[in-house]
Amino acid sequence: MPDTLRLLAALFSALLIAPPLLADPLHISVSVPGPGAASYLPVELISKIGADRAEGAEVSVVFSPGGGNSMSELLTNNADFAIVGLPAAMSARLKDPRVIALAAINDLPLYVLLVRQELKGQVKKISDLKGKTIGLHTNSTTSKTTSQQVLELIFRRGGVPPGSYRVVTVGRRWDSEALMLRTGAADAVIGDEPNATQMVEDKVAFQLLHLGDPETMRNYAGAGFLRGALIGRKDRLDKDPAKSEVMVRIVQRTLQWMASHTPEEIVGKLETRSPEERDRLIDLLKKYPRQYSKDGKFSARQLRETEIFFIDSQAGNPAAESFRIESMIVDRWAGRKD
Amino acid sequence: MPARSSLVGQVALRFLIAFLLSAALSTLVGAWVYYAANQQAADAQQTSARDHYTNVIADLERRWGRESFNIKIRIEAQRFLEDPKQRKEQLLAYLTAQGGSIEFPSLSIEDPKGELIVSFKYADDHIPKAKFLPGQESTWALDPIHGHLFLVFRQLIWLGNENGYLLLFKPMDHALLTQYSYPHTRLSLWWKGKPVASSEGEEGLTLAAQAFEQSGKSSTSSLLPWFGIDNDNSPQLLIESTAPPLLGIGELAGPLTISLLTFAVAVWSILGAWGFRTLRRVLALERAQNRFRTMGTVDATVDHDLRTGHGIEDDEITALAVALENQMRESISESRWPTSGY
Repeated sequence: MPDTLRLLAALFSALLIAPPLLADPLHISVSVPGPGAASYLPVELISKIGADRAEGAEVSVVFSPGGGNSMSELLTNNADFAIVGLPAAMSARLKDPRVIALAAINDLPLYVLLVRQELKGQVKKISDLKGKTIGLHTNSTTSKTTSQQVLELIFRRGGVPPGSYRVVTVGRRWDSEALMLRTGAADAVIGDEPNATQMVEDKVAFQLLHLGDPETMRNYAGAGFLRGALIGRKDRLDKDPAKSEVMVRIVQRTLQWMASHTPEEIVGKLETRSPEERDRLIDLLKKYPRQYSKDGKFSARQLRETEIFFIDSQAGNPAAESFRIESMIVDRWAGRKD
Repeated sequence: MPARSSLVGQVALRFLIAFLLSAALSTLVGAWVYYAANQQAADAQQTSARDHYTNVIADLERRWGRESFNIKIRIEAQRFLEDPKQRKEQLLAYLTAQGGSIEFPSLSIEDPKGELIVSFKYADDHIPKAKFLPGQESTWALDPIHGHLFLVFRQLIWLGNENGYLLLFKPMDHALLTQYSYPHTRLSLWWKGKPVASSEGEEGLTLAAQAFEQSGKSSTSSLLPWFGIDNDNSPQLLIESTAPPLLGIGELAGPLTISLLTFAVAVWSILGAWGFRTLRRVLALERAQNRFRTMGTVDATVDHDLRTGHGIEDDEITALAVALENQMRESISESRWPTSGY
């Protein structure tokens, strides 16, 4: 008799639990530059480690050629969220007050200035790039991507004012970046890891400056800016705050998983990588353990650095100079730290 | 003998019935105005939306046609395709440097047999295989894995010693519909009975499903075939009005209640007060008659009721009061008539 009662109790519990499990998962789409950019690795991991399913959601990733495109995807309803450099989102926010930041993804920005191999010996410092053609992932005259802001900042500091070099788009994929450097269509590119390491290994380009180097970070004020952030829309948050809350929880779950696993375990989840790519990524994760946020919280120090970087990189733009980062931070779910 | 029915009660009942009838009539008129005005506004909105989007579709097709021709001309002018060894690298570098076309983020070039020579994808689109009928210049192609619909333009392009085909892919995505939607209107694109894009993103697809089923029956949504490209095999644009009705129930009920109350007050002031004053005169005469019959004489109360019956106006009731008084005077001696001062 007690067994029968226990069986009935178990069946009753199963009936209570079953509807939420059987319910359609919440569909969430995220636009992110890539694929393959180390900065946005957490997004590619979400579905691999089941962080979305654990929150009753299904995240689909929409890859774009650059941060500007991801912002467009967000603002034109092709994606629910975007993960881009916070400075790019700040630039978009100057024109569109719907843009908000919901969580931190990265900690350390890993931008690399690469120069095509044929110019080795001729280009030894940034000022040698005056008059040369520089490749960016994407480009826009109305809002600046993070790589565009990085380029303008380091060039101005290096004695190369805006307008004294040409800009060309090189796309985001390794093959398009390498093609542009090999054909001479671009003399230098602002690249991302791990493509930058691969281009150096394959002797397509050499590295002139790496934002991840401690010395570079000391020389450039604000170089520790918040690179990848979860970006959403204020109008959508007002309409359906639950979706933003779930997405922040998914991001936090993924970042916490990454913080508690080894580089080998992390890369092991990315099944489609070739052995060389896997080794390169593992080395990168070991070399820059500070690359990702551990909890998605906004750091007050990093937000200050991001504001300094943004204002400095957009010198002469009154709207950017008077912009305050706090106006777009929604830390309701992600939280804050020092 | 039936129970006596009071005149006051009869008048009050008739006033109440008249008021209730007026209220019912006002409610009916209000409901008719509510539905007619909202229906007319919804019809007008749908008609203008259909006209607007018919022009938008025609304009988009003209623009995409011009842009696709311009891309072909630009590529041919560079003469990259005439060198089979270098053409792929040179063309990709050329297209990458330009940052891709905003209209056509993906393109491919095929030889006359349909074999792929080069493919360029600025975004991470998965390009589906497009099937063209002989002479056909554009068609629709669905990426079945991701459910993305593309409008594909095909043109001849010179490869150096023969013509190949340039295929340009226009994604029919949420962004396109968002760009062309306006406030209080939701657009969704339907391909073979399934939604592929909405001006409100993924959420809009779910919301549009019900409207799609009711299209043709509802005045707030209509289906517009995307004519012009392939009329037998074209997607449909569902235009939904999400605007609140022109007239709300509250907005209509307020004025109706006020007018009904105003009407009731006006009727009471004009008819009711007069009616009851007249009724009081008749009742006073009745009381005078009854008291005279009971007492056999005229006292101050009878005299007062007779004066009330006289009233101010000289009408039939006054004549009746005079006749009744005369009759009473004839029945008793003049000396017994009270000197009440009336």
